[in-house]
Amino acid sequence: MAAAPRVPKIVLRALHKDYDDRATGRAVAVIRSLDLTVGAQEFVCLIGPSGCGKSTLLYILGGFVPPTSGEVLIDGRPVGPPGPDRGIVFQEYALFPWLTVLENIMYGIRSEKARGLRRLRAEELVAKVHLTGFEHYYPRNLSGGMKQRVAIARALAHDPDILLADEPFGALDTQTRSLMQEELLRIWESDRKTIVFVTHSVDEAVYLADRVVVMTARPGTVKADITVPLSRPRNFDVVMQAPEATALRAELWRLVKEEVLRAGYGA
Amino acid sequence: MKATAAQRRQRDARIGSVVSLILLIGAWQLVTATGLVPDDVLPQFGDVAVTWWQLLVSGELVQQTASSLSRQATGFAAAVVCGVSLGIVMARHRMVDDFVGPLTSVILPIPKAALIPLVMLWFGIGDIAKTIIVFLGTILPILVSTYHGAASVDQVYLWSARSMGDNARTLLWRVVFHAALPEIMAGVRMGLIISLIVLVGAEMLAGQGGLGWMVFFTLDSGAYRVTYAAMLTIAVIGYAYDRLFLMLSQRVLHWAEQNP
Repeated sequence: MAAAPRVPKIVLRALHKDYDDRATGRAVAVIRSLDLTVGAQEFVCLIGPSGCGKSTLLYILGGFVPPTSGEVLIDGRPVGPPGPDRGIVFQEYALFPWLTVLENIMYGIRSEKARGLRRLRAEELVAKVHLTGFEHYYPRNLSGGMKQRVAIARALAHDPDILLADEPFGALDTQTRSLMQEELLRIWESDRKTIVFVTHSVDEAVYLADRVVVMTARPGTVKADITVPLSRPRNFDVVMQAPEATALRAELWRLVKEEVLRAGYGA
Repeated sequence: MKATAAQRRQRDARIGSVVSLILLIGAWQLVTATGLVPDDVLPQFGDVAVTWWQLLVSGELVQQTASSLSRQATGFAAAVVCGVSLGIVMARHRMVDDFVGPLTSVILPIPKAALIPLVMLWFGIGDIAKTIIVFLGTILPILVSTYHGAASVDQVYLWSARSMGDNARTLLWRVVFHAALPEIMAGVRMGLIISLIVLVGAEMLAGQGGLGWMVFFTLDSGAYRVTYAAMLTIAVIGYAYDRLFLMLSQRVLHWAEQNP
């Protein structure tokens, strides 16, 4: 299927981000001269060595961290403070431990809606992430995979246009991780959010993304921007055996490895 | 149904505390009844118990307890409300912290007993003065624990809440307060104990009724049994408060990984 030209949802131009190093008092460049466009309803994965600024990039998109310079446009307008147009999922789940599964999911559903409607919407999401029966559990009684499913449902509850994901499956075991990937794709295929997904895993990026953006070692910028030539819907076992997938994985490995070595791995 | 290890442990602890209490009272009664310790140093437990009962029946004890507890409760409640809200706002707003922070770090190390004469000088020796002393003595531990709890709230909670539509103000109650609740409760528990200590101290110095006054006044006049009866009452109230507080704590913090 030829990709139809997409409306740009997120546009980054000449993005710079410096952090102040507390020890030396000097500014350290984390992101430098980064240009990136993400189309509406596109699933983009960011990969790169540790410390390359991929999480920082996500936090800038979320409005949590201001860029030092450059343009960050969402729907053509400069990015505003954090808001319900952008949902976010963190590796450490960030569920509120004092709320139940259902209450966590209801948290962001606007309060002007009638309580019954909010609850209905939350229950629908509980079913969508296969947690029926666990509505009244507290996070401490859930497994890592279940917590992350709650976190995803919660981030989608207020129906954001954009979903930002910061290595959401990084803390999960391999089996749970691949189940969660399938589940995320299934959800995305049904409601087509624009997703920017940070990961360490080349396989995860290939399996999930429309496009994989490889970042350089710090200061991070775009090293390669590769469209994934795999049709959807994707079945992991089938799609990952395809020759295109194998070639892409090898290519991405090579690119990431170059940057990991350049970042002074072991030095 | 067989008891779990935790239930057995709890039962053992309960039996242990009852036994140690009985042993203590037994030893007290033994050394006084045998004349080993003279009556004007330590009256017999039995006599103290009788006096306590008489004071209870006459209404004297109830009246003094009520006047103590109303001062304590008012000052303590005001300290909880002010300490918790100020602590949260200080932790999350740099400007408030810069302004109030130095004040609290100057006032915090002052022994609370040293405040009593000062407050008496300004507010006299009535209920208001004692309530203020309780308030001043109690607010700082509550404020400090709340501050630390609120300042160490996980960044990802705050970011998640912002992305779900909270603004800086709604965040304080919906996230910061709840996330800091374990520390807040620890501070409030400490404040509760201190409130009784400073109240009794204030009543001893400033008179005009209350359990502290009873202890001090009767010590002066030689009615030691009444002194001990009043002291026992204070001890029982302190214990009951702490038990009640732990029960409340377990209820509101049932979600936490570790209960206090």
